[in-house]
Amino acid sequence: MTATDAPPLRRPLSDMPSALAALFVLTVRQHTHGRRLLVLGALYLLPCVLALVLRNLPKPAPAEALEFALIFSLLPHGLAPLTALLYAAGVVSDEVEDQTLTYLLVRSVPRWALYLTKLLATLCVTTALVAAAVAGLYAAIYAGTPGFWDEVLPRAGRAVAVTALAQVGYCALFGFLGLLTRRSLIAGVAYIVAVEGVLANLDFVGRALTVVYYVRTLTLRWLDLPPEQMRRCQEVWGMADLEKLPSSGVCVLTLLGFGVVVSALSALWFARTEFRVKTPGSD
Amino acid sequence: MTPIIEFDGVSKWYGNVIGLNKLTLHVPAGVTGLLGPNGAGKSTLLQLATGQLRPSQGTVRVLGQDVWDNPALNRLIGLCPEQDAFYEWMTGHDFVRTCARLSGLGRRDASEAADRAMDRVGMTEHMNRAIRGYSKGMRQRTKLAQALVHGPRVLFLDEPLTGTDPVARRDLIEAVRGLGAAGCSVLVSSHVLHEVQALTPRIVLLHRGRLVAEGHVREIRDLIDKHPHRIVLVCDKYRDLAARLAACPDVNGIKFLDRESGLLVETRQPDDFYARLPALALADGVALREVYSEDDNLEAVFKYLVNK
Amino acid sequence: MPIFDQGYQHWQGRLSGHGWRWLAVARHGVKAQLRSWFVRVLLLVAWLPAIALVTTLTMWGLLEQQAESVIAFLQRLLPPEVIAQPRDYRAAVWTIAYSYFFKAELVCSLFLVLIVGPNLVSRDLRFNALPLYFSRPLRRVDYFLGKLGVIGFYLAATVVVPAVGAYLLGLAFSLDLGVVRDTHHLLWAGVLYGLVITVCSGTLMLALSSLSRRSIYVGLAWAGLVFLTHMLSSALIGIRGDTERRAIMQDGIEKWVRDNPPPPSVEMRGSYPIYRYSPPRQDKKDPQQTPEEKAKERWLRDWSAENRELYTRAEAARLAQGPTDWRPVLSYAYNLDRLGDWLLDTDAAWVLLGRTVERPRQMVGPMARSQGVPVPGGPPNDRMLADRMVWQFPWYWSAGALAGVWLLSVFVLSRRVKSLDRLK
Repeated sequence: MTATDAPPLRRPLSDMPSALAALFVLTVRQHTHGRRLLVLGALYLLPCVLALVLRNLPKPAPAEALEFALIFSLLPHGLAPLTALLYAAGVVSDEVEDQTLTYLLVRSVPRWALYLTKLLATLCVTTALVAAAVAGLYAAIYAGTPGFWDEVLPRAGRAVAVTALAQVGYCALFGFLGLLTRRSLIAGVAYIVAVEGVLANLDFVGRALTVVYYVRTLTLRWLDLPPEQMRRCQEVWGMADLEKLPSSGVCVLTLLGFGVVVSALSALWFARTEFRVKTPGSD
Repeated sequence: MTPIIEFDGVSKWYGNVIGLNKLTLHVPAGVTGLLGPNGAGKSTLLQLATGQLRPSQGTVRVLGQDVWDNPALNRLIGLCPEQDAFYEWMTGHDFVRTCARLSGLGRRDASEAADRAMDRVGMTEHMNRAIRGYSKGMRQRTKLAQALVHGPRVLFLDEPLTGTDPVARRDLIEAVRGLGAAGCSVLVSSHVLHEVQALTPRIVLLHRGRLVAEGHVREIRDLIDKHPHRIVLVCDKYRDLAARLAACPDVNGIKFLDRESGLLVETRQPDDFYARLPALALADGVALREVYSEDDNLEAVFKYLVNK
Repeated sequence: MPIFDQGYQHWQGRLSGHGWRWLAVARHGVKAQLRSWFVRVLLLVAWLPAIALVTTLTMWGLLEQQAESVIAFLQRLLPPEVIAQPRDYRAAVWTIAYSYFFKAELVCSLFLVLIVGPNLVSRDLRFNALPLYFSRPLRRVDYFLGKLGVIGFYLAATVVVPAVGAYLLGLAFSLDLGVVRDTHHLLWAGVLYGLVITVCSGTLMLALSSLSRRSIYVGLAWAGLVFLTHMLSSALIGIRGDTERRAIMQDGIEKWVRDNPPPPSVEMRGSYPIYRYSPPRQDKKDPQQTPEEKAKERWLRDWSAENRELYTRAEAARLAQGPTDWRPVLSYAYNLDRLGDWLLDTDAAWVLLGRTVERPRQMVGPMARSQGVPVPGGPPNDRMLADRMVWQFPWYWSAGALAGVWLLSVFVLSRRVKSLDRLK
């Protein structure tokens, strides 16, 4: 058969969704096999164990203090962004390092779809991890207290939603960083420390550029916090006046919009970028 | 014959380094060998042909279609890459099935296609073991299987025999020949000349990013008129024969090979020489034990072309 | 004319001993890392704290020489006794300046280790280079020292060299050799501190690097270890502080509000009033407040005073726990910081400054209070600044924690970097 006899290149409709589903599953499997997930799981277990220990001391730590320190500070400032950095920055670079990207590029999946599918799978994995951590922490902190089922659990559910939105922003950003530079780890850690850590705590307009700002705003607006907890959060975060803060809708749209825009840019970048596989002695 | 792979004035550079330099090449259907030393541009050519790289200049077409940013075309193309890289935690079958699904096959179709592909490369017995436990030969076969699983019409094999033992090499060569016979067009790259010679007589020779020669080995050799043919004659009375040959005008040089008890004769008209040789030998009662040419192989062709 | 053999020739020279084998490994590692522009830029950036240190020491030197321009600038910032007798405070100020310098350099050095460290062993594992090393007459300890030498070079370049350079420049600007007598301990402390950071951080990074063939995981493990332990420690400190503050302030303010109920015009959220912005009075001809407004203002003032008093009590209780607080020991960075403060004796420097600040309060306090000016009460506390600025838990807790981490790192390295006969 010669080129002139070849049938026109038309792909059946079933091809693309099937291929994308396979890619999604492949990416989830890549993220969940091996030691990486075990190490992260152990890392997330640590605050839960800590909470249990501190609750059972002779002078037990108050639940709200534990909630503030572990769920509202440690998780969104440390564990969640580091998790996103670990997974999202390696969406493409891990494949390049392992030299398996070739197998994906020569398949009948458009490059932009390839990137977006991998990013979506990564987002699902990181969100599931962090959501499990939030749920576990709430259980460790509040289990057995009055109001656990009718107050705390709904709050936990809303906290999971807030965390998921944060992961959208982080995964999109670190995915883009992973494409942009080989030193995505340094850049990511510097971003987490300098921007999310320092800039987010300064009471000026620049903090609206951080993910943590919107996470905190949604925490104040959505989570229906007890008055003392609310006051503590507002005081520490410098968000005393709720009326000056953006509405819940604006926060959600900002985080989702940021995620969508950055992901689209990244997909476009990936589609235009060449990835040359170098092997010893190759051309 | 309409070419399957077309490179028209293609150049590719990486910063200041030129990978391919104004390459114009039309590869017809069938099995073609892509030859060249390290740094010749073979992998660059293959990566351009499979759409992984974009040409800096010129156009690359496969089956009449532009390759870059054409995922639909990838359905008809298969690549067995050079790098020894897999998802090591998968089994061989799992890996090939995943590749099939990434090519758009449904779940059941992909599983059946993976079974067939693994059978074709002789990996049925080992396909349910993790790839990290495979030998080098098994890994190469698995790589070939993933390239075949979706039934491509054009296959690109980048150094498929690297690191394999003689048995695996034989099996892979047989598999490639079988693919060519079944109607699949194959472009095989290698820097090991005798491997390509075992696969196909049709070659493309690259050197330092340029096309040096293209066609049948024999045709290329015949065209190299700068270098005379070198023919070895092994016999007892080789000095008497040499005296006779020295008088022939088409003989350019004679060298004595005392250890083999023979002569190395250089001539620019090998056909005439071969025609005259029996008569010369009979005239002096010389019993020729061996007559062979050192040039009728790829290595000689390559040496002449590259070192000229 | 002799004809020389062009083939392989056996080395006829003398081979050096084991003492310097590690240097070959270190030299190669340093050159490889220096090729990266990022590392070169970071080396330059790490000098910025040194510039700040030199500026501080220079200004102090000029102050000691009673330069008018410097006095005019500094007298707004420093107590008059310090301006008048700067030489008495020389050691303290130099120590505190160095303390801040080392705190800034600690951050730079942890970042630098993050950049140059992950590849050191992980790359050798990944590309199976260990047999190439150990098939030479190179022992594992030479390999380890060589790799540690790479980290040591960069840490020396960012911590020790700037510290020594700033010292010499500060000395030059002081024009007084008495500076050496008062501050020479800073030089040795700086070098020793650099050595501590190199050995602790370097060994830990090498151990992490030996655990994975992918340098990004090593880097993230390092970032996690430093960053997350810091956050965890801060979280625990916050929880403890919150618990105690709640016990004192929350209970105290609730009791006070119960005993002093707010007037109806005050909106409350629990025991805390809600402050709302009220526009200025439109009618300026009648500035008199209504009785309700006066009652509200009085109550809010009393509430604030009680809140401040409770806060001071809570703060004092928190600081009293300092010497027995184990929570900072969980943070890798805090441990290094504590050791640095111990080596520099920063605590004594702050005590001297604290005494200088507290003396006027002790003298002026009773007079100011009689005029209704709010001045913190209580006996003079020379440790007022020291307790707040320097960790108070024992330095040997940090030394023990770092030693434990170091031993664990050495153990991990010895298991992961196998000798040739045990390499697969």
